Amino acid sequence: MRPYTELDASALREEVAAGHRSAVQTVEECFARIDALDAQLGVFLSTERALARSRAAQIDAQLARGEPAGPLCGVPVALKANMCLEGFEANCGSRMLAGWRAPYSATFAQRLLDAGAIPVGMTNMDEFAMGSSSENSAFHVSRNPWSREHTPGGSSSGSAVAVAAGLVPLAFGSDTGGSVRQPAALCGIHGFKPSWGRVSRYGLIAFGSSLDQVSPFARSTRDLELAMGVISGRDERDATCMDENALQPIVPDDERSLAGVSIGVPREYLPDSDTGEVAQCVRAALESLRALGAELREISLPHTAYAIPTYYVIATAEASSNLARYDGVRYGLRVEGSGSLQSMFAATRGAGFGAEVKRRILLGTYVLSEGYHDEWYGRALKVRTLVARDFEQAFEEVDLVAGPTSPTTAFRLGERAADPVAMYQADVLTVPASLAGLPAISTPCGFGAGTPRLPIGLQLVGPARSDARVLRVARAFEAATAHSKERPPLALEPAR
Amino acid sequence: MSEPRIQTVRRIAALARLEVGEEEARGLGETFERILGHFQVLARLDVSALEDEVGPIRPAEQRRADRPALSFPVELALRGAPAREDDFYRVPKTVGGEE
Repeated sequence: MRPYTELDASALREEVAAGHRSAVQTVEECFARIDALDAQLGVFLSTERALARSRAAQIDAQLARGEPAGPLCGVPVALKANMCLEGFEANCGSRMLAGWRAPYSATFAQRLLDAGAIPVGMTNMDEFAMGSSSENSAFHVSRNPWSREHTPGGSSSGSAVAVAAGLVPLAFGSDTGGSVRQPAALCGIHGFKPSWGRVSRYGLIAFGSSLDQVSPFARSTRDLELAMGVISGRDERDATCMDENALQPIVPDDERSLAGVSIGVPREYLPDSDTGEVAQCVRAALESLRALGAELREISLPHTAYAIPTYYVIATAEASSNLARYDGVRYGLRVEGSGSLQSMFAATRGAGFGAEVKRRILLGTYVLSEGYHDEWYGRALKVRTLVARDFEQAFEEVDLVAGPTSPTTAFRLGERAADPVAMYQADVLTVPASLAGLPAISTPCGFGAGTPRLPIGLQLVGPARSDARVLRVARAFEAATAHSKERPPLALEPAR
Repeated sequence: MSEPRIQTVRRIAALARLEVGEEEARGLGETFERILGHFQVLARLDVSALEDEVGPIRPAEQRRADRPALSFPVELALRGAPAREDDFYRVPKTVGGEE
């Protein structure tokens, strides 16, 4: 039997289905790993050991009766704390929802359960998914497994670290402007944001509804394909969900050939003048794609520089509306105020939200307010169209767009915490695909030049609904290179 | 930090039903000003020829079958309520209160 941490979800599922290891044993290995590492990495906000053990025993009993093994049979998974899974605490990294347990399960979470996955806990995140470093969590920071002084990225920080440090083989985050791709890049794992509408958002606690998308993290691209085959597909509870069956992977005759694939490299993402460690590493990755047969072409996405302000106007506007529901009436925190309903609303929200969430609610309220709506929100919607048109024009010439996921490797915790504008820049290369609703992956492509060694991600973006194509090209890159096999140096705590 | 900007923060905070203290309003106002300053770049673009659109992807707008179904059980919905009375959320007086 191979060690738990060496197996991806696909291999682990095969071992459980074949009877080489039990689901009960697998969750015990998972909890042993959590006990050895979570105190130093800050991955989980809560674990649900009794529920996980009972579910594992149930799966073992089903297998013993000869029932068919689901596609994720016996695989421990972790969910970001903004996802509803009945009985689990979905606090969104916020004091506002501390202790709140979801009364129902998200569609994608129910599909995980139906496929035999075993949810083990809810992971740390920037409050209400607003942040790029985990520092906006109301509870604690998460640490990068490659260097504990550095951020793992965010906002799906805990889920990224859970996979990178081998606590679980598969975890889920939400990507609104890069909240899965950026931490995947900074932690040296794969993170895939599907086309907007590919995965039901029912049960994902909303931040920016025209941008949010449930997105998997994994240590292999085949696990991303496996996860997407389970969680995607139409859902009558989400009218914006694509009316399509679950995603089917593309299985090519020759996995290592990219002959006939054209890849555009935007000069705005990778200017010639950029000789930094990320640019050099990504250029080497592009050469690997060329060696596989892909044709590289320089392209332009001229509105890239406008993507950050456009994103932050639209996302904060949507957030100010979505977060209006936290008023102390139906769930979570209540602060009574001075006795009136209005003062209860204001006092509850003043006490329950952290600084960044307040800042974004105010920004969003401002850009939607009378006299400012057209100047800010109305204009941003139009610029969003320009950003999307850039991609449409590019995809008339090329099959995919490639570049870095993040402009830098992981930054030190605390380095940008006091400067929101600097923090927002962390998303500069991920928000364009979010605004256009496109599928995009971050896949490991090497390390920075300095010490400690910090991972770098290659981002591949495809046309709308071309999710399978994006995953197929990432899989060829993964098969031809060794970057995905690198594991962080971790010192285990003694068993408790 | 200008006084009008602090007043803007206070006005917006009231619209957002968000209590902010004096110090907090000052801090939020400063970053607010900086962030909006950076976002002014959007004003450089001519967008007059573009239609209003809510997003680049038209939602699927799939409809479910029009048939009766159970709604969310009251007991489950009330499980996380900060305060309840019978089958209702309990809240402070809504008419005749101080605001």
